[in-house]
Order: sequence, then C-alpha cells, then structure tokens
Amino acid sequence: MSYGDRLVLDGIDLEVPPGQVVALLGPNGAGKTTTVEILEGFRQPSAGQVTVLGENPATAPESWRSRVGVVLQSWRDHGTWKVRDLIEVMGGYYAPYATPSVPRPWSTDELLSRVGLATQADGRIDKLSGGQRRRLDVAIGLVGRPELLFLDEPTTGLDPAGRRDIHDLVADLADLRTTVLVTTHDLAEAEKIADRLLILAGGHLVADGTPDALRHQLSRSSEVRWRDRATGQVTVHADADPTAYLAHLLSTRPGEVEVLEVRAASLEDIYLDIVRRSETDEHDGADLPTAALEALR
Amino acid sequence: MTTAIPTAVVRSAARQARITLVRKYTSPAGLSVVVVSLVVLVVLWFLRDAELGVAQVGASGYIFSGFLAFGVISAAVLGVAGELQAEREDGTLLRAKAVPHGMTGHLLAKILVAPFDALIPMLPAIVGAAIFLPDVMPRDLLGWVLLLVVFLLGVVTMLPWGAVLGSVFRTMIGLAWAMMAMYAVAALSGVFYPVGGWPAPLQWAAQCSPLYWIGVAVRSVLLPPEAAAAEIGGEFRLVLALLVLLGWAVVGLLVAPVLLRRMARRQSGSTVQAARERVLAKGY
Repeated sequence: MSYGDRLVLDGIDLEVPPGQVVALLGPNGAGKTTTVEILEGFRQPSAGQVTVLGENPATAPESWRSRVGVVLQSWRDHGTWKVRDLIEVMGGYYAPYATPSVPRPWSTDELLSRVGLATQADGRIDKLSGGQRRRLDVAIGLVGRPELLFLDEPTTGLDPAGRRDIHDLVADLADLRTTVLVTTHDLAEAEKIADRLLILAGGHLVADGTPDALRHQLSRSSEVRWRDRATGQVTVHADADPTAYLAHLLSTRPGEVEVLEVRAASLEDIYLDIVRRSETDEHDGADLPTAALEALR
Repeated sequence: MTTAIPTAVVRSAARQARITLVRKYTSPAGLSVVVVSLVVLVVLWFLRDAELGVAQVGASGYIFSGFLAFGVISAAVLGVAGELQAEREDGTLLRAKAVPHGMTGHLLAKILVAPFDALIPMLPAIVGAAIFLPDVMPRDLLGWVLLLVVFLLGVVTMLPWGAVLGSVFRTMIGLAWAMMAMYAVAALSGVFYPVGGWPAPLQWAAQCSPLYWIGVAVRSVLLPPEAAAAEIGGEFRLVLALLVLLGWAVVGLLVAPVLLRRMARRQSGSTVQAARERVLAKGY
C-alpha cells in the first residue's frame, strides 16, 4: 500500500482464524491505521489481496457490513441525541440481517447493561463523560452482533473499572466466537486481552506471535545489575540466561557484590527492542522483519 | 446493478429524521431560527400599506414571497451543505458508513428532514401573515396547493445542490466562501424582487440560476396578477418556472449521488481525525 511514492505497508501477510482476539501494535506511522482501514473497507489497497469474512472489504456488499463492527476513536457525533435513540437507530440497520441463530440487532437494554451504560440510557450523549462516550462507541460497534469487531484504542479515557469492563467484554466476545482486532498502545492491555500480538513497524509486520511467544522472548532477555562494594561502580549485564552469570559472579567475587538486582525484560522492553531493531535494520538494508520474527520464535 | 433498500432501513431513516427534528426544534438553538420569522412578520406589518411604484403592488407581498423563496433555498442548500461539512468532521458520516445501508439511510433521513427544516423556521411568519396580513397569502385553495407544490419542488430542486456543495467543500472556510457566493447570486437573481426592468444580459444571467425561478414561482402564487407587469416578459411564467426547476432537480439528482459516493468513499477514521486536528490547529 502506498500514498504516492511513499510505501506505507509492504508485504503484510496475515491470516486470522475465527474467534481470535488479535492486538495490533506499533509506533506512530507504522501503518496500523492504514492496515485497519483497509480491513474495514474504508480504504482501497493499491496492491495485494485482502479477504475479510470471505469478501474483499472495498467491494463487499452491505450484508458483509452487517457482519462487521467498527469502534473508532474519532466519533463526536449526535451530541444532542439520547443514548438509547442512537443505539436503536443504528441497530435498526442490522434488522434485515437477523438470522435464527444470530438475532440482530442486540437488545438495547441488554447491550447498555453489558457496557455499563444502563443508567445513562435516557441521557444526552453530549452529557456523557469521555469514558462513558467510549462505552457508547463500543455498544454501537456491537449492536449488530458482529462476527468481526475492530476496536481502535477501546479503553482510551476509561478509568480502571471501565477498562476492566471492556476487557471482560472482549473476553465475552471471544467466548461467543467473535473475532476481535484491537489496535492499542497499551502493551499490558494487549497482553491481557489478546490471543495473538502483531507488531507493525515501518510498514512491515515485524512480530506475530502469541503472548506466550513474547514471554518466551522475554525470558531470554534479563538484566543483572550490581554494585561493587569497594569502588561503588555499577555494572549492568544483559543475558538470555542470567543463572550462569550470577553463579560465576558470586563465586569469583565473594563479598564484593552489593545491591544485586535481576530484572526480567518487560513486554515493553521487548516491543521497543523489536521496533528499534526493525528500524535499524531498515536503515542498514537488512531483512529486519524476518530477523525479528525469528527472534520471537 | 441496483440494490433494493430494505424497509427496515427506511424505517430507521424515518426514525432518525423524527429524532433529528425533535432534538433540533426542542432546543433553544433550534428554536432561535423562528426569531427571524418573527422579525419578518413585524416588518411586514409596518409595511402593510406601502406600495412598490411600478406595479402598484404592496411591498409586504414582495418581502413575504422573497422570504419564503429564500427560506427554501437557505434550508435546502445552505443548511444541508453546512450539515454535511460538519458531519464529516464529527464522524456522523463515518458512523453511517460503518453500518449496512447506513449512508443511504442517513441521506434518506436528510431528505425527509429538509422540507421541515425549510418550513418550521418560516411557520411563525406564515401563520402570522395568514391571521394579520391575509393579502399576502394565497387567495384560494388552488393558490395554497400551488404554494405547496412550489415549496416541495423548490426543496427537491435545491437539496441535491446543497449536497453537492457539502461534498465538494471539505472545510468550513471553503464552504463559507461558497455560501457568500450563494448569497450574492440570491441577491442578484431576482429571488426578492422582479428583474424585468434590468438590462437584457443581466436578465439572462438571472434566469440561469434556479434561484430566480423559485422566486418567480413563489411570486406568481402569492402576488396579484397585476404584479406580473414587473416580471421578465410581463408575465409570471409559472409553468415554465416549474419545468425549469424540475430540470435543475433532475440534473442535481444525477450529479449529487456521484459526489456523495465519492465523499463517502473517502471517509475513514484517519480523515475524520485529520479534519479534527486541522480544526484544532487552524480554527476552521
């Protein structure tokens, strides 16, 4: 995918099975938004093939749209409307696509209760707090009981209780075999709610694995920090397996080591490392994405 | 290939239109539009005995017909264009695009709302004039029917052009320039007064605008027959006016969907975000 001469997505190859919760991560400008907008059918790719729920999103019929839910960050609409009115009007568009097994739209009261807006049902939308507004966006994304839900930064502006509600909701959707694609900058959130993490950098998919795979990578990246009692000099040593280093250190320098700290790299460290390496390799002309993927596996 | 619109979509659009109207005209901001109508009514009252020289017709009749004609133009063109432009920035259009048949339903709701948006702000003046200034109102049932036809045809004619403006101009400042141009055309096209006394080139220029024909049509329904003397050719040409408006409506209905589809195609989260950031940075 390119804008003029600028290549923004290059060789993204991705397949997501039904019912999987996938988190798409990446620095600003990595191509996340473009990727998601292509998958949502809001943007036409300049090359390549895209199939979502069996259709090309850019040319898919309206029945396809009824199977997809979209929650964006940028909505500030219908401020003077009541919460219930907006959900019911939006839900009405899904009614022709109800099936015996999938009743559409979702009952308004049940949906409002699920997203924690039951008490605001008859309130004006422009009177909602930022977090409540976010819940409303999620409710509208869900009103057609989508098979695939796109969630863009779903917990931005939410308090911890609100975040937990949304996380629980995503877990419920996964139980209902709804496929969810979440874009987020919150690595802890991604790790918590996603079955699979994708990291985009520089238009490439530089990591694709389960949180377990990332944790495996994490276990290979630990940091040992200690201070020399005599000189006060601090030494930092990074090691995939710090056990041998620690054994050697303590046996060869008895009584010299103080303030010893062993710290496992966080998911954030891994993420930053992958992104940094991909950017460096890009400048060096090496095949960074592959290298990064290998590192994860 | 044509795609049938499910009745549920029509129902949703009707419901959207009803809620839009109720929310709009039960709010202080929405009700404020009737103030203009009341001012016009007061002006009509004070000018009730004044006459325009050439045709010896009451000035209040010209003011009232110009007010009604411009009310239709204002609601159907400027109102719709402004709404579409705002809806691109607040995400309303994107919201509609994200649901099945949502954009169709949204535009259908706009079509349903437009006649009421044109009528409601003028209602106090119409009711007031019917009570206090019956001379400026239609004199018989046929007159009322013709007024209704002209009103609806005016809305149908101008609505697509409002959609065209709203589709083409992406920023508030661009749209503001378009609106200024529209006001200038309205002022020069004989919406508010007959242009029969103007030089021939200006008369032809005025007749190129649908605004002129809305003005003529309204005047022909509301003013007495002797007022036709001030019109081009010394007659009202109501049938020709209706045909010309119909022609403009057909052209508008052919052009507007193309531009609306293009506008809808370009709607995405990033375009809405970019518009918001532009407004925050530049103020428009």
